[in-house]
Amino acid sequence: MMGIDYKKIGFKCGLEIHVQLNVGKLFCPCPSILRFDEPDYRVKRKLTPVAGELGEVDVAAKLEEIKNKTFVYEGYNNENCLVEIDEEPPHKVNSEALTTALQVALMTNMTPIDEFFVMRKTVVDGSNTSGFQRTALIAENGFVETSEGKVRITYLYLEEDAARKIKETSKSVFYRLDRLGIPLIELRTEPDIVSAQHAKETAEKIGLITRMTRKAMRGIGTIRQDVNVSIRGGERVEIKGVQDLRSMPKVIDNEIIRQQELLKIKSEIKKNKKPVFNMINVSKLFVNSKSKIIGGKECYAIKLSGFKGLIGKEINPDQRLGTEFSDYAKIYGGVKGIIHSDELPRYGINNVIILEKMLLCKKNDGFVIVIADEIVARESLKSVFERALACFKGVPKEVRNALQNGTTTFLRPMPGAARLYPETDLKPFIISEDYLKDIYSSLPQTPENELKTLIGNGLTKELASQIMKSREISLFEDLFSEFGNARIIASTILFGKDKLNKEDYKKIFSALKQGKISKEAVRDIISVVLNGNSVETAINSYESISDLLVNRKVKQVVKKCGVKGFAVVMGELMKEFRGKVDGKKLAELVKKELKNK
Amino acid sequence: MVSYSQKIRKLSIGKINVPDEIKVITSSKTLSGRLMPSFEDNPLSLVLKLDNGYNVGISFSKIKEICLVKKSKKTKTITRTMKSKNQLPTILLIATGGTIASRVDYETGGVIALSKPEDFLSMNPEISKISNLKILQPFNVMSENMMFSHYSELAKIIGKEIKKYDGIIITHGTDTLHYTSAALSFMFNNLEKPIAIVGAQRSSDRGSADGVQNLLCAVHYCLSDIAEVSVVMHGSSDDDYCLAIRGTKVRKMHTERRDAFRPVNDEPLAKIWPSGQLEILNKHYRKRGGCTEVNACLFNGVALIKAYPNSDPRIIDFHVKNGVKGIVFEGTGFGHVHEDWIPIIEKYCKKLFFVQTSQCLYGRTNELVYSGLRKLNDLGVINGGDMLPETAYIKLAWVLGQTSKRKDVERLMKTNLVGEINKKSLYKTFLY
Repeated sequence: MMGIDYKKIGFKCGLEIHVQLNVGKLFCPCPSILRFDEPDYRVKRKLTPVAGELGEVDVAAKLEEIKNKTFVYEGYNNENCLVEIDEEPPHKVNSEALTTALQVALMTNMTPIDEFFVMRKTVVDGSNTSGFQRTALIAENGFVETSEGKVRITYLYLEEDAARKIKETSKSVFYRLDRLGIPLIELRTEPDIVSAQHAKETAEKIGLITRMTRKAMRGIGTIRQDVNVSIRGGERVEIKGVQDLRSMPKVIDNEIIRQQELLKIKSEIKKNKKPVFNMINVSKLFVNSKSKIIGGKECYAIKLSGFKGLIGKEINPDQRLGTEFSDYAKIYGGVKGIIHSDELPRYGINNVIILEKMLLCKKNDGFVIVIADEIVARESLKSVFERALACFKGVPKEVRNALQNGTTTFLRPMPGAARLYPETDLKPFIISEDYLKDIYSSLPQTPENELKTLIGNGLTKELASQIMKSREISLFEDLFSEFGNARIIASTILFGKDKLNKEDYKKIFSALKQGKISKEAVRDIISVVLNGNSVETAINSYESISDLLVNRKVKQVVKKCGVKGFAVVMGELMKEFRGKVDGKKLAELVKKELKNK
Repeated sequence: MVSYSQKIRKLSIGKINVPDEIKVITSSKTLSGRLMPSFEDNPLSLVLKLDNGYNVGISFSKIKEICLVKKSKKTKTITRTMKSKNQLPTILLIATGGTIASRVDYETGGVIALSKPEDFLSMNPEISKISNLKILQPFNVMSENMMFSHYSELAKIIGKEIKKYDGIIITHGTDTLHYTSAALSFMFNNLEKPIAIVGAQRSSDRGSADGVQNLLCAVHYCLSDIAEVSVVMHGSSDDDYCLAIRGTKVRKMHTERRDAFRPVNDEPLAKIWPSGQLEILNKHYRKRGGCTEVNACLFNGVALIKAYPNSDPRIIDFHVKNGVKGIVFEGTGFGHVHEDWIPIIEKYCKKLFFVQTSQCLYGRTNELVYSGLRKLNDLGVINGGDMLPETAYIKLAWVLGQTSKRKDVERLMKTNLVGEINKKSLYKTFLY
């Protein structure tokens, strides 16, 4: 987005980058594999949270909710063990994960801690079977160089990933154990980032460094970026789940706009007295209404004095203040949504004036209706009311979730400091000088040197940097060392990405090496595979045609239309041979034949 | 060896204690946070809790100076005072130590024993809705350090207190919990009320603590009409229900799982849900009533040994030399020992009592099927039937505490006293 003067608005931004490591789990010998078939077993558990560790709006209600929830953990006989289901103490920390974390620490100019402690960080949403996440601070005080100067990195943590949420019902939450315990390294930067583009660059740089270790996982969701954004007068808002780097600047700019709009609302609403909560049953107004949404249903309303015109105010593309009210009502009250005064008349609700009278609304007053029983309505409207009161302060400090379209949605209030205490089942770990020396001496290449190596192997600068950004560098290296031919391998990988596994790629390149298929066919073969066919089928359908047949055909076509020139002959031949015959070879044959003629 | 606090004292001016706010100055940086204790024997690092909650160790060799920033204030622990409600049943909870009766101090990471009812109830407020708890803590030992004297002490306390309460809960470390349950089973004659022994396989600091459900189910057990000593623990790995298993027929069968305690050669007495639902699984149980008599005397001179390939029977000589009068051996299969054992058993069979059990655990021993078994029988070895080796060991100690007459000892050992011997082997009890 053009036109944001980041300096002028007091833009502050820091990143938290989580990278999954493909080295097996952090505290048990299970593999880091996500599975999507039916699990072999399910274990049902309850959690007993201790009050005061939630930092939620309504702790008591949240506690009650957790107590009534059953957490169902899904596991696989061979891929999971008792550690993940909290029936066995953690094994010693995965040394490959630790080595990788320290490599990243050193590559980002950090200082490792002399002796680190695995801590238990209390988690109450059931995403960890134990009720806590194991996490350790491994290194501190580093930086990465960027086009805008150094971005400092405060800390590097090594921790276990949470279980993967499968579904949620009113009584149960289903989690899969496959992701639980996968090692994550988390890097947290200082708020040194100066613009939305700079955030992207920094995230890219850090991601690149982690990939140099060759231990970062491939695929969607293996790297997660949280962005912290604030502007002057606003508040720190944490945006989770920015998976695609390309969308990061848009998400950040939208957050800036959201905060700016909320500050405008603040200066507007401040002229008014704060509203008072008074919920009124308005069902009788709609007893005979023909509205499908509200007719004959139990519904309640609150007046929001001074809010007329503000609830409907757009604060982000396709989002109004009313959207934020609605988010709160959904999360805290459990309703499907709200109806507010600025969108009426609509939904067949036409008697707005009577509604306003009933709620004693004055000229500037707005209102919000929910359709629910009294208990749910009270919870929902209370949270709407709280959110409305927050408008008097400006921007609420909260955690938001990034959406596909570059906007965000409310997730939860900014939690207080999580409770951390030592993991009593493990000993502290001394990072010895010798261990560090070993890591220093076998440090992966820097991204800059890696780029040079790739170019040296025959890639163009463009292809080389694309391969580096693609998270597929180790795949490239493996295939390159076996089959050579850097350029075609690189462009093929960039096209097929992680949709194909290494074995598939190997089959294709060995067919190419044996001359079974032509260079031109490779891309088409990938397309065929992406359409759901097996690699074998795809290769077979593009197998090169014998030289004899090609020669015969070339002679035929030259005879038929040789007079029209080389281009026409080639065009004619390519209709039949595209992807099946090496174009260069065909051209030579045609030239030879034309000469002979 | 220089201790942690000595090392800290050497580097600081003035007195610094855990968890004071401090500044640690090294050659390359300054770190601030709170001083944490070290649990190592020879600590090489100072443990600092940073503002973000993480503990880090700073090598003493790098520290130049430690400065006090702020003395820590003693934090008052807020405890809800409990009012006992007259109309509710009252339960005596005897805390003996172990995971279930301890918690982690979130600040320092140290383990603290629970001693107040509030401590137990803070995690499980449900209990106070159905009962009043009174807590006694006669001692605090890890279960592997339990001695016969502890069993006797517990039995005496219970004998004294049982009239005043509706039921009794003993919280206990899990390792030897089934020895305690067996001992208490034998020590009461005409037990009049339920006694539940409860432990936890997971520490109470975590959200997933299993002790919460175990304790609640134990309370429900105490409100039932089953007047037996039972172990009440998770029935499955789910947080679903607990099993009440007769104290003489229960064994820890897994090092870590929540459902480690299983019945052996017996059905559980009951299935108990945290909601209070209780399903009787074994109708043959003792009901409330009568007047409890305590017989808490255990004879110390007993031993439990195991026969295995290449095992040396001179272990028996060793025990005899040390005053042992009764030996329970875990034989192989039906209760066999290597033939080299026979002469040694013969040597002592008039002076000592030998009880034959099986390391198979499931099933019963036999005295006739093979000639080796007949020989043991001829020498007067007492057939333990389907008793667990651990139960037979405790029973022998209790019987020898009552009498040393051979005829009486043999008769008592072979008689079912408190459900420790089942005459009938049921199909469904294997690997319950």
